[in-house]
Amino acid sequence: MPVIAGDIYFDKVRKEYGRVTALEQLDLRVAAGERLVLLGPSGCGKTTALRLVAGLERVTSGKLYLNGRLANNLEPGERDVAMVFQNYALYPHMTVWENIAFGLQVRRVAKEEIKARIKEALAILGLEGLEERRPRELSGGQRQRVALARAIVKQAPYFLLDEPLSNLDAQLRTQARTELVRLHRKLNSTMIYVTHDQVEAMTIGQRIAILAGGVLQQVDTPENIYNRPANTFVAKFIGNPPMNLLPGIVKGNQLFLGEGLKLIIPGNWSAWLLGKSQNRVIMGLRPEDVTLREEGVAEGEGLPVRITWRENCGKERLYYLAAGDKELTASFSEGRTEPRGGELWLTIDWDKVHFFAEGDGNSLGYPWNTRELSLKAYA
Amino acid sequence: MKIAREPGPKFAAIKGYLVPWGCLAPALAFLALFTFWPLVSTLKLSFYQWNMVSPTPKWVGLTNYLEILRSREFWLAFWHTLEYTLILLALNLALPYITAYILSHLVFKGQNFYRALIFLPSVLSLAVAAVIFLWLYNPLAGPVNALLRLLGLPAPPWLSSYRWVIPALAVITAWKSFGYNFIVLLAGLVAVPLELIEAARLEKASNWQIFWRIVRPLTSGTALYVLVMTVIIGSQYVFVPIQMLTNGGPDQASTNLVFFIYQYTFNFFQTGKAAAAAVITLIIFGGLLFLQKRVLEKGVYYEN
Repeated sequence: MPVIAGDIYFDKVRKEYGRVTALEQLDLRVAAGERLVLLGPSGCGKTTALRLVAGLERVTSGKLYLNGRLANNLEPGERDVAMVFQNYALYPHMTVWENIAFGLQVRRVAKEEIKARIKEALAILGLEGLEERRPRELSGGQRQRVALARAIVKQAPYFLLDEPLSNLDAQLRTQARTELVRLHRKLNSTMIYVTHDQVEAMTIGQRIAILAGGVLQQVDTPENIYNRPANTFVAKFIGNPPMNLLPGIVKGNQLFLGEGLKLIIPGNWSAWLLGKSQNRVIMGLRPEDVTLREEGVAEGEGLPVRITWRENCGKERLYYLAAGDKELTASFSEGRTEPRGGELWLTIDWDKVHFFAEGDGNSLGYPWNTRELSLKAYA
Repeated sequence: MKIAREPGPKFAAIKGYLVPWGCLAPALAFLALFTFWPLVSTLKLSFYQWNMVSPTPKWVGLTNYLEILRSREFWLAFWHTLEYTLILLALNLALPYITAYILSHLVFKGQNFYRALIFLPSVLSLAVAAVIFLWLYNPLAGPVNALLRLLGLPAPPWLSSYRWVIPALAVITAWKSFGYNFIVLLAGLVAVPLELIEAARLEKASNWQIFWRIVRPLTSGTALYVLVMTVIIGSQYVFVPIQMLTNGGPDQASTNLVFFIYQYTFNFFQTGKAAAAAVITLIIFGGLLFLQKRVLEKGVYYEN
């Protein structure tokens, strides 16, 4: 049952609730048939953005286009949008069949057509045999699938999902992620998926839009969000454990991170950073991109650290480190020998560091271009 | 040295009954005194002829029942009761239901103001309401007729017109009970999750479809309560304006069963007949409630 998808365009869209600004000037294009994830901490405006598309909220200023048509004043029922709510919003007094049929009945779709569409949806979602059950007689996973079925029978060009997996247990969630992506490939509608879970975002989104405090931080593919975060917020928000962010000062080819913490910057980075207008920077290091050495290194080649806490997570080990007055996290996959306690040296893979400007926290970019980066990633 | 005696098993059994019955006793005493005893007395009285004065009521068997069932006045009161009930169902169930729906889901500004305003009449006593309406309905000086005349509409003498007296009295009762029913229904309506309504709005469902297919079934438990209360209380509340304003007139055009019973007891002193009418009324309402339970409960959705 593939549908003809439409694109969505937020043009300087702003949303205020009384004095509270939920969204500040959102500029975002979602291509027809794309799977876009809106990601951010709670209260960042992601659900607001979704509800604006659905028409459940009105834009305060700016323009919202659905398939090139100005949609600011369209009623929810006129937008041809299918939505899955966080708590599913199944009608408790109706059976599964009635729940799925309701929207089609209201739209006066022919009886035979309704029957055919529901049958197909039930088959796709594996809900056959549950037609006569009421929502309270279903498990969480089944309810979630009924909500999906109700959305897909509409065959709408837009498919909106508001944290649809948040009420499922961890195991079901992993399974449901895959199912959702498969379902979208079948439907081919334009999908906006709201979540605060970065794993869901990375696995479901073809692109991810990260929001914080009503401001769009970055929109990009999961790879680029991870490898080239646009600012310190994205850098810290994506990745678990989060990226280490160390403020420092660049002087020539040296980076001073604090008392006794000095690193010599290799040529490409040094030239790149000297070209920037400010020398106060924040260095970003992912915990998995650092190395711990027991033998000493030359001055400026590494940072002296002490392990303050260890965690064994099974597939990886986490080390909480103290370097002078700075705290860092390092993670290593299983199979590496356990470092001893006492003084250790932390060394850096300079191909995997990030630099941000102190102040606005924006990325200072990379001395190589994106193509090189992706070649490196797949080498 | 004293040995504390354990209470025996028999004592424990008695004690097990004593506490619950002890707790029930005060309520039971009042129920017995003011509900069961009058009920039994009424039943007994319905087989006697007694004018409340003579020392010995006279046993007449089923005569009271036969006479009541044969009398035109009783059936008049019966049909009037139905008429009142139907009007009250429209004004005190359907109307507050829809008003509450509008105020809970469609109007968002000034909600508290409207709620207070609508509930206000409920705090008045029905007797006061009756007097207010006596003035409003005044055929010559009353504002209702003044307004109707201004609009060029016929201005009937409300309380002395065969055709209008029942609606006019029903409106008084409805005006007073509206607010209470409204608040009860509103409480039911605001409990309907907003997400369900939003989901329906995405399907282009009209406000009426949302009300009829989602909100109404989800609040049917509350609505059934209001329905039963409207039927039972409504027919009794109407008594106050009848008694105060029309005394069943003109020519019994505004009587109902409760007023009929009252009239036979305290105006005509035919307590036996009145008791028989009361028993018949009880049976009618009992049957009605049984039907309601049988027919309507099926369609009611309860959360738990």
